[in-house]
This record gives sequence, structure tokens and C-alpha cells, in this order.
Amino acid sequence: MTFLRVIGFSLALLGFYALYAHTLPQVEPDLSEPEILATEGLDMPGMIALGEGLFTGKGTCTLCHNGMGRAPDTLAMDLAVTFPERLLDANYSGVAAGGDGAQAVESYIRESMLEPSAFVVPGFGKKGTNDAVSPMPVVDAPPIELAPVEINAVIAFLQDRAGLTPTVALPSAADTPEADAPAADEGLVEAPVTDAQSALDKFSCAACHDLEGSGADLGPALGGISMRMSRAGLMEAILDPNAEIATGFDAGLMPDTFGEDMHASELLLIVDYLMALPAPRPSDTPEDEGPASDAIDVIDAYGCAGCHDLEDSGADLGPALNGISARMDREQLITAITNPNATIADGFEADMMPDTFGDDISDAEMILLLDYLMKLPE
Amino acid sequence: MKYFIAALLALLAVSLPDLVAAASDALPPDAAPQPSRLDYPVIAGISARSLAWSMAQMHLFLAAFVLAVPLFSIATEFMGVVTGDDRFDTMAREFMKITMAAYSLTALVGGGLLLTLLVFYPHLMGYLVKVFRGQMLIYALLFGLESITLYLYFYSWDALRRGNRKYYHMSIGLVLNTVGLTLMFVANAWVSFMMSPAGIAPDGAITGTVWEATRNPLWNPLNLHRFLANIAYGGAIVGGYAAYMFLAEKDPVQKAHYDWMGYTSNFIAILGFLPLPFAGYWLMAEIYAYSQQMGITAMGGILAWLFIIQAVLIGTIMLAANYYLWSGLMRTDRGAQYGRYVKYIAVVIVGGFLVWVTPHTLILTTSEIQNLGGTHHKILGPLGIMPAKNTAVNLMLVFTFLSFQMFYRSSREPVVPWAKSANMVVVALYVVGIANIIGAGIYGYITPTVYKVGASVPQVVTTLTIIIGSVIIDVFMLRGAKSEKVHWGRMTERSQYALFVLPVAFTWLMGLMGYIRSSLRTNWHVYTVMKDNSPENYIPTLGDAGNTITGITLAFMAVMVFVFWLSRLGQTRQKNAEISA
Repeated sequence: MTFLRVIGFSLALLGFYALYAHTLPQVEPDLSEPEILATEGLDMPGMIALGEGLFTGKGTCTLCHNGMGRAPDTLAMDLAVTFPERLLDANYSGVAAGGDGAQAVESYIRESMLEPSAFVVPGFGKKGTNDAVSPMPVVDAPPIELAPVEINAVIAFLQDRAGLTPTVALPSAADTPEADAPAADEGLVEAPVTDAQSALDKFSCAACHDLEGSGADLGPALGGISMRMSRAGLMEAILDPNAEIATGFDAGLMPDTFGEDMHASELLLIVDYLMALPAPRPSDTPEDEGPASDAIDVIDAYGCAGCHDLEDSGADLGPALNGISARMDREQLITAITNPNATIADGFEADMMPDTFGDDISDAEMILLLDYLMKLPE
Repeated sequence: MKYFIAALLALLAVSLPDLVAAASDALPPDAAPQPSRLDYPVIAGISARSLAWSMAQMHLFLAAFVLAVPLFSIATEFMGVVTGDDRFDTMAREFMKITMAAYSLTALVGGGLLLTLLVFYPHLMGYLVKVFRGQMLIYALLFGLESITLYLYFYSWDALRRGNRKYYHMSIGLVLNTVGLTLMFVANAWVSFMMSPAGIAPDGAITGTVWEATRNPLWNPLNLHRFLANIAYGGAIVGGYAAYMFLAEKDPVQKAHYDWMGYTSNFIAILGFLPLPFAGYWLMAEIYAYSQQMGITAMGGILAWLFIIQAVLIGTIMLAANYYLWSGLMRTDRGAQYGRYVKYIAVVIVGGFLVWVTPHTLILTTSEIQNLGGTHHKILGPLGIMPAKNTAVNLMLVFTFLSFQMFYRSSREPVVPWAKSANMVVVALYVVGIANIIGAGIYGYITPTVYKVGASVPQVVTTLTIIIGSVIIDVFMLRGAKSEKVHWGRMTERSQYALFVLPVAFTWLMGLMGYIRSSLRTNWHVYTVMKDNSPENYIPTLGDAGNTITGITLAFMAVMVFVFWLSRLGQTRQKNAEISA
């Protein structure tokens, strides 16, 4: 009996630990093959977007370059001020020392990535080295292993953040990073299409997304997508569709192979086209003749719930709309809609909301919208 | 025997040059192999990683046990010689009896692990053999020596028990422990090399000596961490055995013996456990120094949640160990007077546990960040960073020591005239020390990150000062003290379950730490040098890892039940009635 009690007690304790391990958030392993993006044809905005993705993704830069104090918080800095200061720093004697302009900044960033100890920002050196040795790994060596074109993309991203025109070379076909183990049947590469419509057709986007009236609803509608996500975010959504799933849709439906199948030029064509796509207007739908007739139609027409949490839509790019009357009066709400960058709510970013609603929304629609929003409960 | 020794010496002569000589200059060194996914054998759908994981972890559990028990067995034997108390000697022998049954199982599982690695990861094993060359033969030689000395130590116990012969016996024990520790250090070199390779070129080509590869950046921190953990682990397992025997025995004399054995084992476990967090910090500091990226992967990246479980496990261990010590106050008549302090100690231990379990940097989704109002919780966030955790763990250790000190004093009444003054000094030591620990913790908040870790040093020094200072004062103050009878065996059954918590939690914790140590390499066999391209080269989720660790722990518990049963079987005699029948 004692034996059984002891075993039972031990099993219960073990069961608790095992169960507890399951109650914590599970970080799912990335089982996908390494994503090889064909970069030929990539333009400079594409390079900047790629660089941003690398900075926060494969490059693992933000592991240390964040607000935790392990490395300079690059994304929080005013790089337009920081880079010139670094180039003129008396302790810096690297390849760009004393230089000026975008070209010098490129050299400086490249050197800091490939020879991190060439200049160590005071206070960020390896312990015991008196800031002579940087703890930063060389980015083209394991474990990071950025390809030359990827290093250029990160440089372009940082130059762009510093308000400079990127000076890095645009990639050619030869710059496409090689896959570790190319499949045996991977011989012929299909030539890229050259216009956006062909690219959208080639990858059957409208089969699942509502695109200019296609009516498909397996994925979110593409109209007005620029109001819901940034250009870089859209690129990521195409290349890694399961990273973030829009509310109301299922994961795993969209193929995650576009990174391998798409030419960079095709990706850019699609992204440019979609970012320019306006939000569907009431007049776009055949059954609606004229302006929206009730508040819900107005909200649908201008895609409010795509960015704002409204009746549990779950969107979080802007403040929640429920209970908004407790936070602002009617006049303030009109200003927030027609001139959204005048005041930015805490925790949100400027320039996310289109500033064209003042022109687009008719007076009748505005009244419907305001009446509805001001009565929304918390 | 002489042929055997000659063979061992020949093996040593063959393997020794490899340890000090660099790789041959005659041929250009080969880079590390880079097997593709197809190069990994797939056999009958067996999950190679799960099998290797299970075998390695099981081997580690058993090896930790059979290395640790001789360590405190010889310490206990020494205590027997110093105090003249024969109970120590009897208990040390009983410790060893359990080890004997576990030893062959350790070797068996070790062989299974080697076979698994050779079959499923031939390229990795081939590369490691090239790097460590003759050292692997030395390992085999040491294993032979370990076997010989272990058998000699156990079977000569009664023959060398009294008089000067006892010193011969203890000398054998010393050799046994030296060989055992060396074995562990050698094996540690291989696993730490896989995390922080040294003595090779960036492409893995062998350029240095075996010693350079051995003395890689993480070798010594791992050695210290495992050495201390082994002691704590061995104590916990034997404590579990003693608790079971206590519950099962009806004879009061035997019950008293196993109560005393449980107390001593718990004492050893705590002794090994107290400095363990400091060894852990050193290991993690060296990981950060070697690769900041690797460190952040562990503490602030995809493995960060794992440390929440670690905190829960350590919290369980702390609470159980303290509960056992508090229960022990009832063994003495004066114990009750210390009972009133227990609730305050409990508050500190639970409070420290809650601070330790508070996360800081975690992977959050955008909506989680918005719900939280930032990347860190406004009120609890500050409790997640190292100054708070260092303060919590140091206070938990100080108060755990206080629990032990209370029990120790409960059976001794000082007779020296300066006892009151000494007590005031002890109280002052605690008060000033605790204030200093909290003060250094606050300083950690207002100092730049690079000095935060430095702020933990005075905290550790303070904790050790309190412990060592109190021990020194107690030793002198309680010399010749009026001893109160300790009623061994006067313990509740419930208290014995605290002793079961320790081995279960320790075993699970070791499995968890094995998971994180291996996961830190991410998808590399040898970090930055040899990629793991096998189908299972990803980090499993915490839940999956929890299932595997629980499975291995269950298997280990089953093995230990068998081992304990086996050791009892050796004492069982057939009843006379059965013989005559």
C-alpha cells in the first residue's frame, strides 16, 4: 500500500509538471525549408523592405539591438544624427572614418557587420575588453550567414532610416542565395511575368481573395489592403502567410511556397499593385447605388474594422472603436477621421490611417458613422 | 591482473600523444562534414532524436547518481571516522550498496547511447572522434578503472573497516571519486565542445590539440554546474529511498535509522543545491560571453518560457526541502520554540518563488503587446529582470539555511557565557546581510546593464558570508553544548512525501536543463561548424519536450525502484520454515 501511495504521489507530481509545460505558450518549430528569395529584379524599395525583414528576422539583429541595453537600439535611434557622429568619432579609425554622405555610411555599416570590432560603441564591448572587442557576431559567418545581397538589403534599410538614398548595388540573378540542397528536378526556372495582372493570374490570388469583385472569401479581401498593412507587412504576408492570420480566417490555407516560386520582380509587381488598390467603395458593389445607406455599410465601405477593433473584429492597428464616446466628443471624432495624424493615441503610430476620408466620405455617410460610433458601448 | 594493468598502460601509451599533439601537419586538415538530410539513416520509422535524447538523458540520470553517491559516501565515511559514530559508516555502506546495483545499468544505457549515436548520427560521431582522438580511449580506460575501484571500495568495506585499515579503504574511495569525476569532466568536454567549439578552424578543420578542444569556453562552467548538481541529485535520490523505507518499516529502530538517513540525505542535497544557482549564473554568463546570441536565445528568446517551468521546479524543491526541515523541529523538545518563525520563512520562500517565476522578455504577438500596454508588464515587469531575481534567490537561500540552522540549534543548548552576545552577532549578520542583498538588488535597477551582473556579486558574497559566518559562530558557541535528545523517527508520514518531491522534481529539472542545453545549439550539431540537417533538427515545443522528459523520468523512476528492490533483495533471507519444507 505504501508503495502504491508513493508511486501515485510521484506520478501526480510528474503529471502536474507535464501538464504545466502544456499550459505555457508553445513556440511551434519552423519546419519549412529555408526560404530562398530570388532577388533578381528587386528595386530599391524592395531591397529596403527585404532589409527590414532581415533586420528583425533572419539577421536576428533585434535580439540585441533593442531597448534592453545589450547593443545600441538602432531602430529607436535617429540614425540621421547617429551615423555622421560615428564617422567623425575620434575613436573610429575604420574604412569610413572622417567620411561624409551615404557612401561613407554604407561603408561604415558594412564594416560594422563584417568586422564588428572595428569600432565598438562605448559601453557595448565584451566584458573585460574595455570596449575593444564587440560581442556582435560577424553576419556573413555562421550562425547568421547573411548572403552579400542580404547584407546590402540591411544596409539599404538602415540608410533609408537615416534619410539617405541607399547606395548599395541592386541585385542581379547571380546574387540569389543558393539553397543548401537543391532538389533534383529543379532545373528549369520559369521566366518571370512582366505585368501585375499576369502575376496575380499566375499565382491565382483572386481565387481565394476578393480582388476587384472576384467575390472569393477564403482569405481577406485585397481592396484597400494598404490601409491595413505596410508594404513590408504585405510582402511578409505573401512570403510567410502563416506568421499572422487575419481575424476570421484559417491558418494553413495559403501556400507558403511563394518565397520559392515567385521571382522578386513578380513579388514587387504584385505588392505595388495591391498597395495602390483602393478600398471598395459602395459604388463598387452592383447592388449599392450611391452612398451607403446605414452605418454598417459605411464601416464596411471604408474598411474601419480592418484596422480598429470593432465589435470584436480583433484588429489592432488603431484604437478600439467600442466605447469611443468615453474617450472623445463628436467634434474630436470628426477630426480623428478627417485629419487622423493631428493627434495620435498612446501606443499607436502616426501615418497608419489614410488622411483622405475627409474628401471621400460624404456628409450623409459621416453623420451615419458618427451617430453609430458615439452610441457604441464599451 | 598484471596483464590487465599492462593492457591499460599500453592503451594509455597509445592514446596519450593525441592529447598534447596538434593534428598531423602532413595533410591539410579536413573541414567538418556537412551531411545532407538524405545522409541521416532512417530505420523502421524510429525517431532518431527521441531515441538519442532518451538514451542520453537516462544515461545522465544514472551516471549522475553513481558518481554522486560515492562522493558523499566517502564524506559520510569520513564523518564516521571523525565522530566515532558507527551509524555514519553503516549508512555510507548502504549508500554504496544502492550504487552497485545502478552501476551496471549505467554502463548498459551508456552503451545503448553510443550505439544509437553511431547508427543514427555517424557523421557527427566520426567528426567528434577525429577531434578528440585518443581521449576517447582514455575514457574507456578510465571506465575500466572506475569499475575496478568501485568494486574494490564496496567489497572491501568490512575487511577494511577498523583501525588503520580504514584509511586504506578511504584511499580507495578517493581514487574511485577522482576517476569518476575525471570521467564526467571528459564527457563534459565533448558536449561543451558541441556548444562552444575550440581548437578548430571556422570550417571545422582540426587545427589544435585535444586539450584545446577540451578546454573550450563552456567546459569549466559545465563541470562545476554538473558536479554540484550531481551531489544535490544523489542526495535527493537517496533521500527518497530513505523516505520510502521510513514509511515501509514497522520496527521503530529501523524507522529511526531511515529518518536519520533521510535527514542526512536532505542535508547533502541542500548542501549541493545552495551554491547551484551561482554555478548556473556563471554558466549562463559564460554562454553570453561566448555568444550573446546563444544567451539571448535561452533567456529572452524562444526558450524563455522554459525558465518559468524551471522556476516552478526550483520553487517546489525549495518549499519541499524547507517543509521537511520545519517538520524536523518536532524531533526535539526545544524545536517548538522555533516553530513560530516558520510562517515568516514561508512568506519569504513563497515570495521569492513568485519573483523568480515572473517572466521578463517573452515573445509576444502584437495584440498581446497592446493588451499588456507594452513589451513588459507595468507593475510586474521590473520583477522579471535579474536584480529582482538575484535578490529573490539569495533571500531564498539565506532563509533555507536559517531553517536548517533552527533545526540544528533545536537539539543543542549553548553553555558558553558569551552565547547571548554570539546570538546577537548572528542576528546582526542576518539583518545587515539581508539589507545588503536588498540594497544591492535596488542598485541593480539604477545601474547600466553591464554593471547589473556585477551587482549580483556582492549579493552572493553576502549570502555566503551569512552562511559561513553563522556556521563558524555556531561551531564555537555550541562546543560542549547541552545536547537534547533527538527523537529520530518522530516525524509525520506527510513530511516524508517532501523527500519524494525532491528526486521527482530534480529528475524532471535535469531533463529540462538537458533540453535547453541541447536546444541552445539550435540547428547545429557543433555550433557554427557542423549543421544538423536531420529531419528533426528543430527545437521541439515545450509541451512536446515536457512529454519526453516526463516519459524519461518515469522510466528512470522505474529503474530506481528496481535498483532499490534489488538492493533489498540482497538482504532477504529465506525463512527457516520454507527451508525445512
